[in-house]
Amino acid sequence: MRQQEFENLYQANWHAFKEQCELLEKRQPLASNIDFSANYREVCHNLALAQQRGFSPGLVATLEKLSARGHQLLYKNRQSIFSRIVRFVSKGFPRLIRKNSKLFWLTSAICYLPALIVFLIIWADPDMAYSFLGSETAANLESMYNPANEHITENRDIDSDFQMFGYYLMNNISVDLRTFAGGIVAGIGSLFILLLNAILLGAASGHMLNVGYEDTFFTFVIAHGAPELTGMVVSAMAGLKIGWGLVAPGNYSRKDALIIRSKEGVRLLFGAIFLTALAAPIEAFWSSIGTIEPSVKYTVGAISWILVFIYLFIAGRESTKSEGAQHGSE
Amino acid sequence: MLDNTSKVETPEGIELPLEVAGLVPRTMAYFIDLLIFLALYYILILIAGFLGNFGEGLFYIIFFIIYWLYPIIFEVFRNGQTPGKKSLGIKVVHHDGTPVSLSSSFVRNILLIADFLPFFYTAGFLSMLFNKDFKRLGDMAAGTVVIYTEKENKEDPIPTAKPRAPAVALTLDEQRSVLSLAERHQQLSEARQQELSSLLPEQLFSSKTENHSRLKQLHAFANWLRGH
Repeated sequence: MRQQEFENLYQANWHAFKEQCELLEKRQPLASNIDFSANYREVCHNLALAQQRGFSPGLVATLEKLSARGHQLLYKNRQSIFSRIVRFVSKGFPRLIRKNSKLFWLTSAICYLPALIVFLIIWADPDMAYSFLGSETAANLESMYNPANEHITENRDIDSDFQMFGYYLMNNISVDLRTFAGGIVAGIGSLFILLLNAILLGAASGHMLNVGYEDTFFTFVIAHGAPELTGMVVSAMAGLKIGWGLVAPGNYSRKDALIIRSKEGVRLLFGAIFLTALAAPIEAFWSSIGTIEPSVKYTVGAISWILVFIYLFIAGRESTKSEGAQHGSE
Repeated sequence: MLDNTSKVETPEGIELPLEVAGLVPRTMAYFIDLLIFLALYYILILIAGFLGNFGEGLFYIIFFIIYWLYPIIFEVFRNGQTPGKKSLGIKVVHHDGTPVSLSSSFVRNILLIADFLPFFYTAGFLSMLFNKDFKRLGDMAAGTVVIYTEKENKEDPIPTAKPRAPAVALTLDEQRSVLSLAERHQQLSEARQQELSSLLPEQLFSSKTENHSRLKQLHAFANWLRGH
């Protein structure tokens, strides 16, 4: 078949396919009797023929462009973003944590052990607080959590609560994102940010205990600390995931390992963002209330920690029967 | 050929060319997006200023969304194009030519932090200069490339002439060259067309023809090859 015949034969199809592409690009539905993927395969077939038979570059380019448009439309994720978020939060994320439970515990240890060690050092030698925190930060903490301060015993108005909510949300999620991005330097950036925060946590706790402000400090941090610290650990997990992909790529090339681990890493990051976002309203609207009995605050704090761990280790489990069936659709 | 085309093979068994965009259009797109971001930022400051503490809280949240989600939202829901990329005619796709997904867009845009290091996108620039597909670190991790959008190619018909079979059999490559040259008769100057036609085998043309009638002969061959 010569090119002219070929064009005459298929021109109408190509034109129809182009119109279908235009409709889909405008997010409009096609008529129900149109089989887009079959038409797409036909155009691909035409392109292969045109290339093989040495038809003119102009025709080949036209068909290449048509195929590229079809390719973009066919391989697009058409699930609604809302249902994907709901499924991820209710099932996908806790499952992902359990799948990476070793990394989760390792990262938790990297966070809490140094925090504990620094806490013990400062508890044993109060002056060490100034080496870890610096005198300025130590003074700031003291003025913030001094029980004699009136802002501790008085409730803030709702406007300032909202102001702090916006601030916590922006600041803490930004830290998560930076921790994740730090992973690309072989995980070192993530480890650095995690350790920095862990040491700060341990030093602040130890110092508050030494100066006798422990009630105001711990009642403030305990409830929102559960999702916030867990979010911090998970974002470091996400960064270590990509970093480890570069250090030990396994059976893949480093290039491919980076892409594969980043895919899983970014899902962990989504989870970390979810936990951190959860912490912000608790921190702004609950932790800041100074008039509640410490015993109530400690109880709520403990419940908060238990809930976070129940969520991570129980949510999204299926009975063993349906698990096999579910597995394929993941 | 020495060009910026990267071929991907699709499941349908065809090869699609991706025309990869380089440092200059991408940097320009970045600056356009930066200007839009700064404009939004100042508008936001003006509005939030009237709303006191509540406004400040709102400012933090909206600033955060604009700062981090601006490129992601546009890339995922607007065909891989932020306004800056759209005005430069480039877009983000996966390296297999499929549209960029939410998680890939997240990875490449969050890793801008790493590309920024140690100052003003040095890591990103170096990575793009040394990578075949001009990928910055974020593109490497996300498995994405920035390509030129498919331009409608002008249908430039071969000038009609009385079809004539060439005197010698042409290889497939030579046939393609003849057709290609004929298709581009409006984009190239006459002199350049003559120069290019001299690359074709000499036996093709009747021996004593002038350069000018050579092109006419070439168009006749093209018409014959095309099947008029």
